[in-house]
Amino acid sequence: MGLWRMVMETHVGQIRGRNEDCVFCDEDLGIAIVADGMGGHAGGHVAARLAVDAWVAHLRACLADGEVSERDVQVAVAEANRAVFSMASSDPSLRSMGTTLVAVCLRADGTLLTCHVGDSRIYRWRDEALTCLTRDHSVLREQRDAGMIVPPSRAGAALRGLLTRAVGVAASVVPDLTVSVIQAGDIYLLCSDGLTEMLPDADIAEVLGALGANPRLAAEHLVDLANDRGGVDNISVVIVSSCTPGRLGAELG
Amino acid sequence: MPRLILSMDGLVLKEMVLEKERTTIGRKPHNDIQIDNLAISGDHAAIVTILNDAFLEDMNSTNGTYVNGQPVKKHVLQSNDVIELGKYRLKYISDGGAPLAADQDVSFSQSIGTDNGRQAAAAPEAPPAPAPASSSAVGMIQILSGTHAGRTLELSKSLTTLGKPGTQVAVITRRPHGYFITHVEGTVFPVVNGRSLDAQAHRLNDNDIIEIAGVKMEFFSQNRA
Repeated sequence: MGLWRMVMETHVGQIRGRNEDCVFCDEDLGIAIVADGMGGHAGGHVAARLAVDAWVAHLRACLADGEVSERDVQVAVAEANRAVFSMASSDPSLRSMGTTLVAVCLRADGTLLTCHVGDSRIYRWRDEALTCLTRDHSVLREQRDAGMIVPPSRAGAALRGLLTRAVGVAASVVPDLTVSVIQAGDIYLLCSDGLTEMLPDADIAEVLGALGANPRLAAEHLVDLANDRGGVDNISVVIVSSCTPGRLGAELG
Repeated sequence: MPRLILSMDGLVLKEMVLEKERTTIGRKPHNDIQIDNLAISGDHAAIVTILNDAFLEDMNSTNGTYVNGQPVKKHVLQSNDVIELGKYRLKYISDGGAPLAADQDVSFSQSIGTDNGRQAAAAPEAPPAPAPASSSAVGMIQILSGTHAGRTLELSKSLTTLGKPGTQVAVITRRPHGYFITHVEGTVFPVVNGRSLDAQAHRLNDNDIIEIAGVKMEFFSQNRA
């Protein structure tokens, strides 16, 4: 599996007073995670922070013992859920806090493990095409899939952010897991909905295609674009790139 | 009298004359232009018309107001500007003489091409508005050296990459407050006006000379017709 570069970027946006997102990535461990917390008061940030810390701590322990299995990732999500839920249950000011969670794990056998709860997303850029590897656990997405509403160009404000699954709001949570084979040149993007509410997939594809060779710049530009278009929510991105040049210099032939 | 043409998916829904000093647009029924769609905020935007000038203002809408594809908070409307709210488009037309929903570009080129006096009877065309120093200006690159010398490139996208992959690549990003050039890859950094850039984004000014991968080019901005 060659050398992977990971960069993260998180920004409060233009409207919110607090950043309730939490991000972490580690190139040596091959793991990356984004959590978008919610819940009044300080709850959102606390939930995101607790979930990320618990997930990373469990993965660290597993990696020390060898390769990470799907079961390990499930347990890590359960640990994150337990950390948030027990804190929410014990502290009245943090009641009803919760968080989304998207994470990836690059394994030595050349596979990528993803896990996902909520409306944060994981995208893959491969062969000049952007694919979303996750399906939002949101009321909007489920109504859309059920054919109840026509997908609006920009999501209806009333349903925005209503989740059907979240970490820490119940005693247990079921994450969606996927395992896929990594190809040279793949770029993975983990992001909170503060990015995807502002940027259509086509714009995300444009940035990853043009700046994939410089993930730091790509991450900064994605955050800048989301802010330029209003930045209504916290914006977080982690880019996992395999360092090969992207589509570059095409304009000059 | 300035007018607005409301359309969705290319279908013209309505044409309205901006007769009031302040015309409001939104989902709530008290608006002058009511658009009953969830993507439109209750009070989405307003247009203030003073004599021949119209100013568009986004009223802190949830999904934003776009003009010619760019998000705006406040914007001086030019004739033929396309305002986008959700899936709806409002074309702003400032002159009073043109027929309904006529394509302004076509009628303009026709009036140039017609030299037989028939047009002379019509009211004289308003002089073109002075070039605004606003975000309606689009950046351009003219290549000055190399095999593509003389070619111009419109920087209409949010980012444009320049250079040779594997050797040296830079990107020009389009932001609401201007154009910026940043080094992307390669050991050599772009040179602007004879000075080599560092890793930071550098704001471009008109007539800046940029050198990337041995090719010289000039940046300038141009107002959209």
